[in-house]
Amino acid sequence: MTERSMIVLHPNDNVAVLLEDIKTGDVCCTKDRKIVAAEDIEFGHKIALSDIIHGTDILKYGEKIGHATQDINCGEWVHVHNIGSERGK
Amino acid sequence: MRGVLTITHFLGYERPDGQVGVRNYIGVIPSVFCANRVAKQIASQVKNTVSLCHPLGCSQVGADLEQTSRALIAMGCNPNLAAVLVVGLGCERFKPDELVEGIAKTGKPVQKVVIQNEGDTLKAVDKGVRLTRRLVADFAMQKREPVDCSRLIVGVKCGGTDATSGIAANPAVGSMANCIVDHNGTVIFSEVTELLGAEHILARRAVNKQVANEILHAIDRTENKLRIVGGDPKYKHRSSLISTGNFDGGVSTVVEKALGGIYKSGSRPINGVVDYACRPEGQGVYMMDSPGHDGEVVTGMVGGGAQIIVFTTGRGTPTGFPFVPVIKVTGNSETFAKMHENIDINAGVIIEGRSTIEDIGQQLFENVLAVASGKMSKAEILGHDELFCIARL
Repeated sequence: MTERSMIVLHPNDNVAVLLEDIKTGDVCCTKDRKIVAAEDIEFGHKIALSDIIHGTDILKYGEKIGHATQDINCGEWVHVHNIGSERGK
Repeated sequence: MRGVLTITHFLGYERPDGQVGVRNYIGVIPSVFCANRVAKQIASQVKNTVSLCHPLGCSQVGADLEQTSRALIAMGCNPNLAAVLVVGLGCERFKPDELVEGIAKTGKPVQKVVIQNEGDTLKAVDKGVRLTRRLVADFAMQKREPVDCSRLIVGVKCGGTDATSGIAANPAVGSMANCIVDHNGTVIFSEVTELLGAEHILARRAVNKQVANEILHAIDRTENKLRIVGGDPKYKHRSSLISTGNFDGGVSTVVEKALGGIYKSGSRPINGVVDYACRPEGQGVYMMDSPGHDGEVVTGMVGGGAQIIVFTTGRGTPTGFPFVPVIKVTGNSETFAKMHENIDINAGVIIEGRSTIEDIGQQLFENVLAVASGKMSKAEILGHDELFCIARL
């Protein structure tokens, strides 16, 4: 079990940004949070900090950057395959 | 520096119109591109002088000509220039006298040389050198005075962005921007093409409804312009503003991309929207209506009175401005190691867990005051001056 670092950019966020490449099972940490990665995720990409139900807002920087287009489990990669954005149209 | 400076002051040059310069250069400004060579030769022969060569001033009409002339006047009005020599050709549509008069309103000395009146290049250079050397001599003794940091106008910009910019460099610059605004200074942000998708978030930060509407209008205008030039159906959605590199770097939506950039303007209320190369009327945070080209944005900010630019770059860019210090910040420690002769501050230590956004923000704020007091930025030391380019319509 390897410890890896991530950054939560706003206290309300439900995703964090990974500060290094991680493998399934790695523990991603901030000072006060620990999340087990459910899959391999690259540096700079987002990881779910909690279970996110289909249709829920994805919050980063404390703002809605899009919504979940499927159920996302805690520790899963959050990117274009499971985020939709009505503002991108 | 810490022992010398109190945290709320810097050492600057007072100008007759109440602005404060952080540099004391004499500017040599061609009113038309035909005068570039003469302007460059004059500046090369006199110390503490910078020439501002550009490809404009011929065959322009309407709003485009108006923007060019406004921006050229605004360059001369920037307080980092103590005095100005205007170099004209003689037959250009934007008359050298208009440039002289526009700059002279600040009360600073402005001289003029017109090539067709002098006879030829050599005669124009000779007269220009003599006029400029007198201006330099007049200002060589001017001393820096302690002034409150509320007199600072700082432009914030990013370029050569990578995945670290939105999580380290831009947040740190945002934290610095908050420090400046909390000390009653002014921060200008721009790059409207990069703000599409997050206009509702910016509008919410507006100080009142009118400013909120101005923000929405500015973004709307930019979007319409993009729609006109972008005929390719592949680019009909805003999401096409996200490049492949952005996606690969972890950006998933246009709002997320815009937020990463907006972050560098901090979190304080937006007090107004200003047109390209126009000065904010008050203090606090202002949005300038300009597209995203690095040089065009920075030139617009300098025209808006910015004495210093803080520029974030993940991949690393060496650029600078002829008479305005550009402070480079990267969130990428590898880029910092590779380009440490070009980059002033490493915010990558935030990613490594060795510092915080607030600590680097504070360090940046202190560095801005030090540079305002005379410390040279890395771009200045190496003589970088690429960022002077006036935006066209």
